[in-house]
Amino acid sequence: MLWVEIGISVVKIALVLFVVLTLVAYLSYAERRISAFIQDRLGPNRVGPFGLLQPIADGLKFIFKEDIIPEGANKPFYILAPAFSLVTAIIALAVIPIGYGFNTTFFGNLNEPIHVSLQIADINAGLLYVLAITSLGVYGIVLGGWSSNSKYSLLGGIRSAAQMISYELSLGLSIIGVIAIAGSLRLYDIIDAQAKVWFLIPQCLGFLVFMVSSFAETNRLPFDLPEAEPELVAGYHTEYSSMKFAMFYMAEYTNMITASALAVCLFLGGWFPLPFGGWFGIDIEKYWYLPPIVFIAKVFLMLFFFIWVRWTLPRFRYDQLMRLGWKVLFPLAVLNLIVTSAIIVFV
Amino acid sequence: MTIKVKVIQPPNLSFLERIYIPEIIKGLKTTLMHILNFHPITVQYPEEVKQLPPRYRGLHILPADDEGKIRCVACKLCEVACPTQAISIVAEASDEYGIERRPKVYNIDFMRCVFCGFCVEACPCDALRMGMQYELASYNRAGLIHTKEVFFDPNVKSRAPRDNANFLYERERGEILDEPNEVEKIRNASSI
Repeated sequence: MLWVEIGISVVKIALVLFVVLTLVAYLSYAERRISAFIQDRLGPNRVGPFGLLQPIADGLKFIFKEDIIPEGANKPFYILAPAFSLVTAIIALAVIPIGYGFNTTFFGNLNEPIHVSLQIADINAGLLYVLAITSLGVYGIVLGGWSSNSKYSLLGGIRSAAQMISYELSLGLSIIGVIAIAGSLRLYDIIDAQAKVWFLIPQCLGFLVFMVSSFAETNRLPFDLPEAEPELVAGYHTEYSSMKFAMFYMAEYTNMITASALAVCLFLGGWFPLPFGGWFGIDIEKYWYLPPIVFIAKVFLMLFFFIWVRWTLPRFRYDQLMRLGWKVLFPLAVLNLIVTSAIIVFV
Repeated sequence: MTIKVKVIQPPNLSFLERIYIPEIIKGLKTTLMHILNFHPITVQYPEEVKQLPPRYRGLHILPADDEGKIRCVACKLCEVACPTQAISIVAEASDEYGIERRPKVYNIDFMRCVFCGFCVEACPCDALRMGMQYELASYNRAGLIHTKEVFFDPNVKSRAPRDNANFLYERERGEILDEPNEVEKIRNASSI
């Protein structure tokens, strides 16, 4: 039995890694296509049908590009930084549950059925794990910015650090309301607690704060100050080229997936298709594949929302960013927490 | 003298505008409408081409005369008019009636040409026109220097009479009008 469980875990890890990296590649394609549609252009449509092979062409190009390490760069950290970014981005996905799982005997090869859960690691403090790991991601950016020995990179890295510190607090506080209602840090329990009603409705203020903070956490417009092209060339990855640059990009998109999945888990009802009513009496043991479909569809919608917002809003100025973080979002998150806990205690 | 300074006040935003959210939703709606009513302005170049305006100045062509020959008489006015010295002409003697010189070499260097059209304006014989072609990529520099064989187009007829010296002289005296029916008109008028 132990070997079977290990085997299942390995297969799950390989599958998630493959799916996520492919999704990341196609997110770059989606980003380019959607931005093109918003701007009345066509976007990449030459490589393969509808340009669907574009990510493969991009990947090949990244691999064959010259890998430049600038003179005066701190070599170990310069090489470590993109790997750090990508690894932290990917391992944060390990605790995201996408369904109830199913029992199987592998076509009668096992004596008793074994339960396969649709998540890599079922940690009882899963939410804390996600927050901890995604916060580590900033090290990759700061290290990359500092070790490049370039003024633009350094500025990008410093901005990223300041932005992360400012928005991490609001992000954490906005989640505490959810934890208080669900009474658990385990993501599986949090989703299950939304069977009656999505947390979006009682926690709409928390959701707003969470969304704005996660845009800032993923370094995407309107908060992409670490890489602000007009001011900083490309910010922390100015000096990077070839596969190292690609790894920073993959990390950005993986963070986007994590943020989307987390938003779906915490506020958008996870695998419950409608805001009210759970499964409407559908036998979920039998149709075990329905929750993952609903969950993944929601994640895709969130990803579309991320891209949509990026091509709609202009970038914040640095002082506006700080003002929004500390003077607006932080008090709002605290207010949300106080109101939520008051209701839980007194009602 | 004092400099007049106009102080521009920041715009007064209403409460709804200051909390961003309604404005952001408006913006999102605008971009979503662009996705839903998708009218791309992209011209997919090699497959689609844009319609050119009728007076477009593309690669030059040398029109043909009535006998299907190059009309140019190597007067070199275009060479003089060219602001970038892109045109180079070598003349040779011609024994045809009314024509003293013919171009032996007529080259336009498209690495220099700026397509200003001055050469066409300078030409007294309508022997040079701007065409509609604009695809002039080449694998080497030599390919960008077009000789008269390249841009002579026997299908394009010039309307001006072939005997150029007489033409100019007669037009000066008002004996030649551009349209044949106008000549007809004058003839009829004088007969009355």
